[in-house]
Amino acid sequence: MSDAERPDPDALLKAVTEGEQKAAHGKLRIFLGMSAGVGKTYAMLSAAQDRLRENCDVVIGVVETHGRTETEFLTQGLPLIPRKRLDYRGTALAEMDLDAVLDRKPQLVLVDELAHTNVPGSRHRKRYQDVLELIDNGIDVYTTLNVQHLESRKELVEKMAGITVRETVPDSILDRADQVSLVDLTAADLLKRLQEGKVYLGDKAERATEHFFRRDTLTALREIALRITAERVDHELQSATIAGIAPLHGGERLMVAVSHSPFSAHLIRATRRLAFGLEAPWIAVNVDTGVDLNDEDQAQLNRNITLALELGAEVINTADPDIPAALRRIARQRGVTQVIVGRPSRRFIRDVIEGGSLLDRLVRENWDIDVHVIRQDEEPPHGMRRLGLNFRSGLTAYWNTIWALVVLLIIGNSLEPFLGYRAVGFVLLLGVLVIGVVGTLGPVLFAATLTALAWNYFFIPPKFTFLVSKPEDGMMLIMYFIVAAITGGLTNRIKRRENMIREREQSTNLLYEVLQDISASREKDDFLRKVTSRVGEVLNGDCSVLIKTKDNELKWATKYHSPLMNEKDTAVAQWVFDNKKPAGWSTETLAESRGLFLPMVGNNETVGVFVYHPETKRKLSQDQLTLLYSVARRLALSLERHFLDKRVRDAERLEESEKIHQTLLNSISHELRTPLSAIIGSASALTSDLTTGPKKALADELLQATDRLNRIIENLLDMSRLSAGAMTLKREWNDLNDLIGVTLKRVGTNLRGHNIILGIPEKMPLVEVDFRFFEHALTNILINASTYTPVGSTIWISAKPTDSRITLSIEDNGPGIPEEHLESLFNKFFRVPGSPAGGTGLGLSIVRSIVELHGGTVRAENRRGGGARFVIELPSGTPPRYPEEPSEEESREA
Amino acid sequence: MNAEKILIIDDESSIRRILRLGLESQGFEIAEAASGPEGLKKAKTFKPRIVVLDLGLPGMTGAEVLKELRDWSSVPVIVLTVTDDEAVKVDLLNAGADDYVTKPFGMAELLARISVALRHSALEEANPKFTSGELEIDLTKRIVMLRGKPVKFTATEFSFLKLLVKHAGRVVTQEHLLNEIWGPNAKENTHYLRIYAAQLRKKIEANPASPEHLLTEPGVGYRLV
Repeated sequence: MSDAERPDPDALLKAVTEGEQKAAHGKLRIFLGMSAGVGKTYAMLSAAQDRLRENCDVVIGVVETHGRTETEFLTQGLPLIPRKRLDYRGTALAEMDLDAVLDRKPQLVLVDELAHTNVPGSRHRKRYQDVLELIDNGIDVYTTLNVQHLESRKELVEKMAGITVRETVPDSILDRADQVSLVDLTAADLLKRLQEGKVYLGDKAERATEHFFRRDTLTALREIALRITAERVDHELQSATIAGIAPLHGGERLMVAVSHSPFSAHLIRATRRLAFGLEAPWIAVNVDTGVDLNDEDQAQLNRNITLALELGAEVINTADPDIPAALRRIARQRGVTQVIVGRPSRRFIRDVIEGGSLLDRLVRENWDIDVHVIRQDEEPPHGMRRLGLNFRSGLTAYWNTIWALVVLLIIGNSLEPFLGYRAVGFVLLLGVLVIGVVGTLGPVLFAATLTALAWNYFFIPPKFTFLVSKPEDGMMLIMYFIVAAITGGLTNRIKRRENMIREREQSTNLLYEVLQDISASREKDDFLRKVTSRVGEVLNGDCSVLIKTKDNELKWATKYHSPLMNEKDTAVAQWVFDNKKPAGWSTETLAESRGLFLPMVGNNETVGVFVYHPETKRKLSQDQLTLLYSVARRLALSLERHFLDKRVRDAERLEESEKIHQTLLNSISHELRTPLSAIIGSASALTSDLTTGPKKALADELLQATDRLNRIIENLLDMSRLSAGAMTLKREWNDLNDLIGVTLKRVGTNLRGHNIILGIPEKMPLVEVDFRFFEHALTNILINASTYTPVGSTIWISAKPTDSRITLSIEDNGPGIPEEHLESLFNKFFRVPGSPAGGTGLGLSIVRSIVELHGGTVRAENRRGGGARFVIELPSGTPPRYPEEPSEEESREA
Repeated sequence: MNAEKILIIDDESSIRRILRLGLESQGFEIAEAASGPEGLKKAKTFKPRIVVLDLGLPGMTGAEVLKELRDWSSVPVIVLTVTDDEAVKVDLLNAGADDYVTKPFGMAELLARISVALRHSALEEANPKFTSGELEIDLTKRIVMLRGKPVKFTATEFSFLKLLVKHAGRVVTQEHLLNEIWGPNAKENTHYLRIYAAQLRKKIEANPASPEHLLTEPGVGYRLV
């Protein structure tokens, strides 16, 4: 066992103690369903019948068959513990008799509907508490549960289905369960059962709504149920592996090896079908053996991997010259239960060298994993390519081999007179080894064959024939060929491995350096520049980065950007950003583009696009692609963190500026109001001392002026709050009459010369407004009316509720407003030209801001009979519930 | 005559001067303090019947002075404030202030508050009788008369009125009203108060649209005068 495979001793110990603890308790098995009607009770009873056949002592604590005959049939042979009758508000209700079950002490008890709430007066408030007591007493329990009753999913379900879930159980109950069995049914099947009347809808909350039994809701519920079970299975599998127990049945995990063969796609699809049927997760593994792939193969491999990703596989890239060993290692690490391979093609020589075909080796090596062999419909094309014979791109290599041979022959020819024809063989062998170092396996075998033939033809007597006169020469020739082929091949293999390690090291180094770059730079531009240039250097290309701005637009990250980019490329980048999928060169999307565009996806958002322009048209290896993806991901995470930091800093700054603003406001209001208080205090003391005369008039004048000054200060403060956005409304349901009463009292002396007529209906509903701000708004309108109408004018204040709005009008019979100024009346600092002195032009703009903050509108118009009218419309909202009032009146009198 | 003593704690000398002039002319005996600590010291030595406390004191704030004062004294405190924030006012009332006056204020308003506070501190227990203009309320007999005619109330309306009469002249917070009438769970339901205040006004006000007795203190509560 290698270190990686050996379980952690601490984890092992924990698993063992947990196992012991559980043994003392009863076992809990939960039948989980997405909703009522999937057949949980049926499944539970079936499982109970199985146990009964094993001579287990099974009893029914409580089971709701809802009169379904199939379900009732399954209760046969299961003894029923009679339910306890409890009186609750005059109704007799039946609950599971917990004490009777505990006394009876069966091995297994069936308790339906885990989320049930017991009748008040029972020992526990909730049925799950009964269940916990049962298992604590060493009794096994089978129970049923719908996902919406899980505390953590309640809110989600309520939002989705528009129902109220009243009964919940804590999620920890799932942790207490030894087994959670999902009772699954597709939404379509459930709806069909529903139509056929096969579903009992007892729970009012569930019946109450047609939202619930809709296909989309059910599908979503099913997904929740599946996810809960999957999470559990994952967890179970992990603990099972830790304890060294074989993975549980049902916790299937499939694995398929992906190569550059077109047949791989077929294998991937077959695996996906199998995985889907088993509802199991699956892994696609690409083992990089270090063999160089030509462009076409590389592209095919990339296509295969993309296909696996698209079909939902988890893709793992690993480097190992030994494919079966790599598969074995990954299967072990990931708890794989089934491996899918293709039927092997006949590759005799290689199989002999490698010790059997992949399938042979997979099956032969002792591991407890099922191996599926998939029928191969078509022969993999270019069988020779697997041997590394590269006819197309490697053609130059073969020419070079021939030239090298010619040189060797010339050297051999000049040496032959001194050494003899046999020694020439060593010169030729040396040549083959050199080719093994620089070339691939194809040219090596080619050279071995060619040199053997050339040696025979040119040197071994009889010369210039392919005949061999002496038998020992024949032996030597054959030996030569074998030695040349094997040593050449071995040299080549060593060199390949070296290259592979170097490449891997290079990627690791690059990633490490990228991380260094990022952590060493504080500025985002700085690390982006460093990283792009470094990656470009290593991968022979040009890298650049586009980052999204605040407005969700893509912008070049640095001032410097690739001259290769044109408008078309920008469009590709936008597509990649929007779709979060790679595109461009060497992909399946927009492949004619010259660059490769990778989305930079962080944990929460897509932050930009990483662009790579290759210098040559050579396809990237899977390793290099993975490298690019890793770099893009790493950059994305860093940028995301960077943005987040910035946002936090911005928020802090904003908070700081708000604080300063608030301090300033407070100090201004204090500094201005304190002297104002002194003035008003003095003036009011004066007026109360004086009764008549010019001094009294002066004091009154003083009071009125201060009053106006105070109002201007208030308007300025309001304006400043509004423009700072620091205004938070405290909306409450208020009585419009009250509001108007308070406002009129405040405006008081200003309206002394005016007739005020109120027209608020008796049954006026409450309005949801911030009392103080709305009072300011009304004050401003009334002050405005009193300023612009002559003494003796009438002001009407009326309100009426309509369907969804409340309309409040303030009208007067004054001169009205010039039509051309009606629009601009509410603008800041606007004053109607030629209007009487006084006023800052702030009042009405504050009115508009306040009304709009309340979600309403305000407009000014002229009355038909002359005069102005201001109309405020507010959304009426949902009125609150009114208090209950005992109907009888107190009639005690003196 | 033994003049009632009033302690003024305010850092603004002009305010102190004006208050002294205005209040002395009404026959009160005045002591001044320009800071919180000085005010607390004077509160012990001068033994005032009323404390007028400015909220915006430098150093030790008015709220802190109030808190410390309440540790050992129940002297009525009227707070002078410039704040627009009703929550601050409610907090002050909860912290033991008897009433507040918002700057800028008139002398008449402050005198009215002072006389209410004096009455309360003199009576200790809530006055079961309340008379204001044409309105007469007798809590012990549960009688409400307007212009000499009895007025009928529902139970809830009467509880509302009773609380206001018990604190006649002083502001009663919304929170207090809701808690006393509907219990602690109704704290958010301020709209209950709007409805009952409107109903009450129809019964005890000559003109409900411009109330004379049941006044709204926006965002804080109600006051019966």
